[in-house]
Amino acid sequence: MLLPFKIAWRFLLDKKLQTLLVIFGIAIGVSVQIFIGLVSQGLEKTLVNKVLAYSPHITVYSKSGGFSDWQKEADRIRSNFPEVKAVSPNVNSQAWIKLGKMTIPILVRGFNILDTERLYNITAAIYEGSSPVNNNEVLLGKELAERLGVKVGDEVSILTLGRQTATMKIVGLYDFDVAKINNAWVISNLTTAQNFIGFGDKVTGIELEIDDPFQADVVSDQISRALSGEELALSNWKDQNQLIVSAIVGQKLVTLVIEFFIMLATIISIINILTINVFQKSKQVGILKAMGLTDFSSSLVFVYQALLLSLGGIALSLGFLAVFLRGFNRYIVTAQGLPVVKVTVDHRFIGLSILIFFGVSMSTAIFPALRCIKLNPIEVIKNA
Amino acid sequence: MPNVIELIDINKTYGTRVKSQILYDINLEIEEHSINSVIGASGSGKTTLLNIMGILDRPTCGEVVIDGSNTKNMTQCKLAKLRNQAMGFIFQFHFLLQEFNVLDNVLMPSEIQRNNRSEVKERANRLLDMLGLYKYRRYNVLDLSGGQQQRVAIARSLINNPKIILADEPTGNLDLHSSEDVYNIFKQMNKEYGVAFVIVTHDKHLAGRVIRIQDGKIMLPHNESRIQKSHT
Repeated sequence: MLLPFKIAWRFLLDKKLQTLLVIFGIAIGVSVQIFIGLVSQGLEKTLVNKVLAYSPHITVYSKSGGFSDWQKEADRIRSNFPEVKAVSPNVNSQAWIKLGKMTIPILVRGFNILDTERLYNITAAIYEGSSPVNNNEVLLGKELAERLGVKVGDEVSILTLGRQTATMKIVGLYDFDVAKINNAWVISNLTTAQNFIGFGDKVTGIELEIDDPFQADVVSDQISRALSGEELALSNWKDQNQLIVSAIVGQKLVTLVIEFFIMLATIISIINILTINVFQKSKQVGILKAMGLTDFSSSLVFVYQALLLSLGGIALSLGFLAVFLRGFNRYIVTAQGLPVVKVTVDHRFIGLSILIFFGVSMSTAIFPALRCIKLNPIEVIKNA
Repeated sequence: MPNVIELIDINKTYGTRVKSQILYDINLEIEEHSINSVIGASGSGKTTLLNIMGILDRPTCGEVVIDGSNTKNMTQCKLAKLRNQAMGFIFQFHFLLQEFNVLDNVLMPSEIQRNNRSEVKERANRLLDMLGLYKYRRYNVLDLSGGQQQRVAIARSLINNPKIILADEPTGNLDLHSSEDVYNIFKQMNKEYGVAFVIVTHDKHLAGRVIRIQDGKIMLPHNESRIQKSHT
């Protein structure tokens, strides 16, 4: 085993420039393939995050507008569906906020603020003041507060659809970095919103977040079958954003095709170079066979060459990949200096990609190895 | 003397559609410790005969017995091992491996045998010393002259202590002086190590028993003679 390895090593060293070029080619192929995969993942995450930033994966709602046994349903979901990460009952109502001569349309949203931590993380978005713990306390978005010219501690009047007015105290200001939401959502605790629209103990819906957003339709169906109330219905983000979902799936497929062809090109280049190497070294292989090197051992020379080239290429590809990732996150940025697509290092994906490449590239060594087995030393000696 | 090679009724035909018979009913014995020169015109079948003796090529029919082992039903792997253990080869173009230095080239047959013992290295150094190449042992083979390269090939052929060395026109590519050197080395090795030689040659440097081959047939017995020719 050691001699074929030694011969393979010497053969590669003998053609240093060729070897370096092949390793460089493999490294480029592998690193670009992984990089494209990571960018695709990053793009998908970025898109999904942007689409789902302030909307739930699944919403349970009542066909009649509100439902009272929401505690039971929320508990049932929590206990039966481990893939559900956040369960947040809420009350929503259109309303107007009034200050002086200004009347602005808003959406009153009542939550148990703690329940929203894994959904919207309202607490983290508060940049001034605190959460609305008590009744008749609200949070206002940054843009809305600026428009109204109010600050923490001020009171504002909110008009319901039934033209009733409630006075609320501003206890905090939030910023979700989305002006549309900052302008519209007035957030209170659950009881304040329930009282505001005269809903008693009812909620308008339960919003859910799950582990894998792309499973929203499947999980939604499962929950739908498990829920008891016939007046309850479910909606999920995939059904509501079908165009975006199909764009993401399309982009994933295109990426997969690109990755496949990059790998194919890299593998073909390895086969080519090893086959050329068999021709280049046929004289040496013939001499070694004449001296008693077995067909198996001589074919091992090319398997080891494939091994050394693949390992060299993979090692260098990790360096390239680090450069690509750093460059992408540093230079492909928005006007604010944030990455357009945040590409992160997914060790599992990188490991798997390398493993697949390694397996395929090693299996391709079989072609030059077979060619080597067929090599007859007599031919070599005759044609010297 | 026991035979190190026996060829029994060897015929060799090349080609499938157009058949061309190269060797006809060859029966030949090579004794241990002997020196044998195979001579004949170009295309007479000298090299084919040597390749069959060296079990590099199989006869179309007939049997090759190497050191008492009939090779007829041996696998390629067994043939390779037998070649490695019992034989040494020297070719016209020396066929050294340019990727390795002089010492590595000499040690190659022993490495194929997976024999890395220190005695082998000592033997390699001793052979190189005898052949005047010790100071070049770390040189790349391409940095040596043609005569020196052929001497490296001779050292390589002797490293596994073979019973026979098959040399195919070993001096065909050398000048007269280097050719004489090579033949003197063969005689010295035959004397010191008892190794038998079969030398296919075109030139007049005949040594030991002369086997004349003509149109694929060995001219025996009346053409066989022993020539004692001094090269010094």
